[in-house]
Amino acid sequence: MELVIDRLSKQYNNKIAVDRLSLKLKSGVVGLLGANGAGKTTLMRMICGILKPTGGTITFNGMDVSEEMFRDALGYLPQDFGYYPNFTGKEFLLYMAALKGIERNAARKKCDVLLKTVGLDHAANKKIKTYSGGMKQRLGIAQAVLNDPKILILDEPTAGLDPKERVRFRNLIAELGKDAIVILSTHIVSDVEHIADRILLMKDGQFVFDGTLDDVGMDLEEFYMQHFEEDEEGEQYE
Amino acid sequence: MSNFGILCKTEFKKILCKKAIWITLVLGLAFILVADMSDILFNESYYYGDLKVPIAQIERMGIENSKEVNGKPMDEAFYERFRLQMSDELEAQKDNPAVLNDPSSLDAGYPGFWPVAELTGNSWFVQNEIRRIGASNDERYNLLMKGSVEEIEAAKRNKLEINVTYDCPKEDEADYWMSRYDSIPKPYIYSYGHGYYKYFSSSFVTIWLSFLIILIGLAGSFADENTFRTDALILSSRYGRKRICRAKLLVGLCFSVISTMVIMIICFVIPMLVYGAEGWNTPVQNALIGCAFNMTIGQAVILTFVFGILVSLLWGSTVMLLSFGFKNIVPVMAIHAAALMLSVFNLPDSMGIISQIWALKPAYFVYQGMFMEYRLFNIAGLLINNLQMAAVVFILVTVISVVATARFYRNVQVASR
Amino acid sequence: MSDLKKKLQMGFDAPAPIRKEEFLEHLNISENANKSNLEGFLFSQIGYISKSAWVFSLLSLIVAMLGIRYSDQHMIWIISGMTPLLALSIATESSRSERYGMAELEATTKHSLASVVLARLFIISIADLVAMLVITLIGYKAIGRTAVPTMLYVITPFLISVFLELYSVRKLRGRQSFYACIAISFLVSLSIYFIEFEFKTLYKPEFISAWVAAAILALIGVMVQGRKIIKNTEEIVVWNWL
Repeated sequence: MELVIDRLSKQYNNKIAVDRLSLKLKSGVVGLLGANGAGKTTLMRMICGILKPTGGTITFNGMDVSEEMFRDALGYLPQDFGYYPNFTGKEFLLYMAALKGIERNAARKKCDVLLKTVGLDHAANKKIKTYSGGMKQRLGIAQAVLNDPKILILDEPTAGLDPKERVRFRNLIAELGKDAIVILSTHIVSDVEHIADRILLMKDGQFVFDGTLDDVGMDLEEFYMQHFEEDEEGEQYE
Repeated sequence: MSNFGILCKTEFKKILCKKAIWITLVLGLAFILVADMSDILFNESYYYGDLKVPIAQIERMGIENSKEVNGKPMDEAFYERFRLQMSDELEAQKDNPAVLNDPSSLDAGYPGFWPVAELTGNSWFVQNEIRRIGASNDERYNLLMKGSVEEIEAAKRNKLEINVTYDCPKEDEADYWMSRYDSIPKPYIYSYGHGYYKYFSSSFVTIWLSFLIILIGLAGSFADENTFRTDALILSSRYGRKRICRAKLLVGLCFSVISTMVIMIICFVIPMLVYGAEGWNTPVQNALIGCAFNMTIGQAVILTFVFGILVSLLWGSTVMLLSFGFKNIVPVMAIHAAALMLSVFNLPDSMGIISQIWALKPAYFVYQGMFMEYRLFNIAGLLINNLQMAAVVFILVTVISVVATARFYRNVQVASR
Repeated sequence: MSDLKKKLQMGFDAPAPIRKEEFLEHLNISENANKSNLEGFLFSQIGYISKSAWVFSLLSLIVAMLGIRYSDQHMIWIISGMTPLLALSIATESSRSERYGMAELEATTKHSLASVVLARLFIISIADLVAMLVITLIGYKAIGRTAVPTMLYVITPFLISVFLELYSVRKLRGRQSFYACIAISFLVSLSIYFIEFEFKTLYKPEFISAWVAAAILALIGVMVQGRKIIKNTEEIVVWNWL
């Protein structure tokens, strides 16, 4: 199982959001860190096949990401995902299961299990518009893992979760990372510290660091701040 | 249920959970009910001296009176029966100055003509006949009261020919209509077509209500995915490109057709219950004055339903296309609302082909006007009437809209919001 | 930042600021000037009213004027039936903050949600009244009536639509209210067209008192609903100039 990103680029008018990235990923959890506007979300959208790159290719086990079978193996939790207010949590999951091609009976069972896993079984039949922010986030996580994805893209997945839920989530992701490629983009450095097998630091559309926590050799947050200190100094004089 | 079935069911749920649809439907149907019964509910009673006759009673008398002659040929015996009823009633009312001095009868040259027509249950028949006979004022009533069947029929034909020639100055175009009119078997078979007339004339209300329901239901079919920020989730799922698009389009078109048919059926049934449904197999001229087609009332009704389906498909597909294109319900609703409001206007005939193309506006159909559009399209020597052209255009635009939506949806991307 | 800029920054140190606090205090606007005046606030809100609201109102005005130009004097109902569409912009603007999730933010600012909503409604109402005045002045000669009855025929459907739409904005939340407003505008227009088409009595001189009564009742309804909407934003607004 391998995700290959080859000279991937995305340009919007005058801005290069992603600048000739090349990467090979195998199963495990990859932590993607970067400042706002570094290109993380753009990269993730291109990997999911919902944004066309300007150049380069992305393939998963030889399959291009635009193919339907790639999406069959994909789970995605966007940063600013929405929902249908009048749907209940269970209806929403069943709808997503249908979209992911899961057979109806299997979908029902899977939804029940997942709602219990994310702690939403008591609210399964309540409308999503009544959910708190953390509950909506947990629902989003549940839909992302519905189809037992081989490649799981998570953009700010722990936003809105309380510490206990965050720990539960980390355990879930760590477990999934054993058999799947998990790309986790977050500003919460401690999440990456605890579960990422590999750390990617992104800046201005390029990777400025690609290695393990051992390769960092220091506190990850300090390491992160060091890399982006230059930018701060520069911004003071602009 | 297969996955596709679940997707379709969910799409239906998204549409039907909009409260505004149900509120609009209930209010609209109430409006249609009032509109169809407006004659009875709002028209005043007629007063002829001490004699007060409520309009409901007059309508009832019309229905009762026509029962004896529904389905009968309009021959000499038919007209004789009518004239006898009128003269008997006139005799009975000869001492009632309110009837004899009725101002609406002054034009007729027959004192008390209109009140007597109402009192004998012949008001609908007389209205229909007078409007069809294209002679001067006095002559119309003389023909009706004294003319032979041949003279009456010649006058009706003459009136139609004048109207047709006005719209179609070319000889071959006028011949197109007159040949159709001449092929209707004579003498005409009569029926009390007031109910069908009410259906045909108030169906513009139907089409507006149907349009509103379609607009409210489908304006968000694709736009909502952007507004509710579910587009990334859907597009990244296995069936989030082709299959979901097909489900949305199928559900949208089905919703359009079903909602329109429900509204049209209700709008058809109400006047049938109030005014009676006799005359299904009689010439359409019993309900549509000025129509030159050789068809029965039943065929005309079916045609309105067929066009109802075509119009609903057209609207549904264009609403969905704009919903996909704009990703926002406001411009979708604004554009369609503007189009509907503009369709109230007719362009003057002097604008030629532009005016003729404008007459293909969907709101014009499912309405009596669609049967009385005499202008023809000349395509490589072949004369095509409005109905034929509209059917082709509507189907074409629907297909283009659906194909375009499906085609472009395959390549849609989620960039920054 | 370009390379040259970066190199310049590395090569030179910027001087430290002198008498910074004095300079900033000097910039402080006086207490009276700090309170932006009502007129200024109203003017500032003009820019925040959505372009589509202006475009839609303008289109409705153009269509009404086309109706006057191309229709004969019996078709006053065309003008009368267009004005409910003008009412749409009022109802949609009043619910815009809630539809786009800005209500909570705007409720906590200095010029709170209530002020914002009231200001926008006021501006759009003025604009719509101007539009209806234009329609009246152009239309009354074309339809062969005097200015006052024409104004009534134009403004009454508008007021009825505004009243019903403000009511629906209060009762329904979010997009549902938007859909309801569209439906109300259409149904009011449709009612006018139908009544005139069927009965041809709506615009007869003997019914003018009915129009006056309808206009007064609708105006009262609008004021009541408007007040309730403002109250709903959980803020008591004190207008200095009232």
